[in-house]
Parts: sequence; C-alpha cells; structure tokens
Amino acid sequence: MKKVIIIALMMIAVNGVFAQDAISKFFSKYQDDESFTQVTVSSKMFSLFTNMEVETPDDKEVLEAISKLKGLRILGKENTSDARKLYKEAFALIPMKEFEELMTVRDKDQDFKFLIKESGGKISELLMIMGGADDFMVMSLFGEIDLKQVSRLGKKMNVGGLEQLEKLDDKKKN
Amino acid sequence: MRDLVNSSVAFKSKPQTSTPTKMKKIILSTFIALLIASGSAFAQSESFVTLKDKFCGEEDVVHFAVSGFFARSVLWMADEREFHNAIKEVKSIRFIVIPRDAFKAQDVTLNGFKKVLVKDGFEELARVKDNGDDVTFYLQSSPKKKDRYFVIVEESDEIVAMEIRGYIDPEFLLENQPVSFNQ
Repeated sequence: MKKVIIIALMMIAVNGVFAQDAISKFFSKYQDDESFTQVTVSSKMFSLFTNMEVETPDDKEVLEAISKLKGLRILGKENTSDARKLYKEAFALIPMKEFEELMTVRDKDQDFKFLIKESGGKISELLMIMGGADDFMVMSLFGEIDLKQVSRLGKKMNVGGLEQLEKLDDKKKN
Repeated sequence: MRDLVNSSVAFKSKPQTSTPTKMKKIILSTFIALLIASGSAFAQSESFVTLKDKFCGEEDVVHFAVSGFFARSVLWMADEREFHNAIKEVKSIRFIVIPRDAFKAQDVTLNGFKKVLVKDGFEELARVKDNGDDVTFYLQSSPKKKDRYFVIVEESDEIVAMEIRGYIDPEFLLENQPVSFNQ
C-alpha cells in the first residue's frame, strides 16, 4: 500500500515538473532569438503595489488582484510572417491537458485563446495565446488570479489582449 | 570647408560676453558641478562599489553620479513630467558604462556579477529582452535601508549599470516598462 502511495506521489510530482517544463520549453526555445520580445516580471514586482495609495474602491480591487500575482511571462514577435506557425507551435508545446479553455476570440485578423489552470477551486494560471497575420504573443500569468479583475488589470498594466476578457462578462450578461 | 571658415569667422565676430552673463555662467557651472558631486557623495551599494573598483580606470569605462534633484531638474527641462513625478523621492542615481571587452580583460563575467547582486540582497523585479537589448531590474529593500534599484542593460558591445537610491512610485513602474510592454 505504501509503495502504491509513494509511486502515485512520484507520478504526480514528475507530471507537475514535466508540465512546467513544457511551458518553459516554449519560452526557452526562443530566449536567444533576438527577433522575439521577452518580458519576465517577478512576484517581488507585484508585491510593490500593495502599499500604493489609491483613490477609488475599484482601483483598490485591481491592486489587491495584482498583489496576489506571482509572476508574468510574455513572449512576442511583431511583424513576422511566422505568426500563424508560431501560434500552432504554441498549442503543440503547451500541455493542453493541464489547461481548460476559457474563451476564444477572433478580432479582425487576430485569434486569441485564453486557457486557465485551476487548482483547489482557484485559478492558478492564465495563458493567453494570440496569433495574427503578422503578430504573435503568448502570455502566462500565474499566482492567485481573479478573472473579474484581469481585464482591468490588463488595462492598468497596458498588457494588450487582456481587454478581450471583457467579452467574457458580456457573454455572461447575454 | 568654406562653411567651417565662415562659421569660425562668425564665431570670432560674436560680441564678447558681458561680465554679468559670464558670472551667471560661472555660478551655473559651479551649481551643476556641486550637484553632480553631491550625487557621488551618497552611499553606494556594495554591488556598485564592486563594479566601480573592478572597472574604474579601465579603457572606455565611464562612471558618473547625479543627485535626485539634478535628475529631476533635467527631466523637468525635458518636459518629462510623468517621469519627473515618479522619481520625486529619489536621492541619487549613479551610472557605470563598461565595454564587454573590459569584462574579458578582467576575466570576470556578468553572470558572476549578478550573483554578487543577489548576495547583496538585490531581488529581480523584471527582465525585458527586446531588439537585442537585455534589461534587468533589481530591488534591494529592507526596513532599515532606503530602497535601492539596480538596472543592468546588456547591449551588444557594452554593459550599462545604473543604481537608483530612493523611492520610485510603483504606479509609474506599473504603467510603463517593464510591466507594460506591448502598447
């Protein structure tokens, strides 16, 4: 019985490591490619916003949501003929079993796909994959994520694409 | 060549600066020199001292420091109001520009220096790689010490290290790079 439990625990641990590696694999594959833009933001940066003075309760909610984030990674390429290819490659490398599709949006010539990872009833990761005719971007936001605040948070942080999540509210209202 | 001669003549034919204007220039130059000197008088992090000790005096290494007041004055004159307001509580900014060859000559690496930063209590805030440039932002903060930011810009032929002592408005960081990047 003990052996079964140990093996099961090991399998869960190994699976977790592989899942993380698969996402990192996509980022690390292009980390030395200068034609890509890469942004990495640590939890330390997000923790700076906890003591910020705000005027409205709405801003306070956004800042609280930001302070619960653990990290942000963005990999993007602009003005490229490979955008569609990269979009497809992202889906091939990202462990889709780990994620649940939240929403797909087609805006003009751009496709947005939002995926979430849930653990313990909370969203621990939000992935946004964007592919257009000329542009490609993959964004991974992790920590404790409040979906209601993400689109506002995107506005505050000027991270383009996250405003698409407003459509999630519109869908719910309709 | 004619233009050069003409401009030289034009320069020579300029009326001589009057004594009050000359005095103003001297006062202004002294004021600026004092401000720059006051910047270098502020306490430095051990990491910055390590870089300075290792590379100052090497060929093409440039080092300078300015006070927060001087930096704000320059930003005010450049009409960079948002940036000016964000560094209202910055005490000093110091820079060192080191050619990559100097690292080779000293037989040290930038990755080695990043370990020095971590030992010195600096934590990575963010990293941005764009158009071949690699910029990493660090923060050293403790209840006793005032905040210190350290920025390393890795370019193809040189490394720029910048230490900012004092408080930077987080909202400025939130709404500008490095957090925001694609708008």
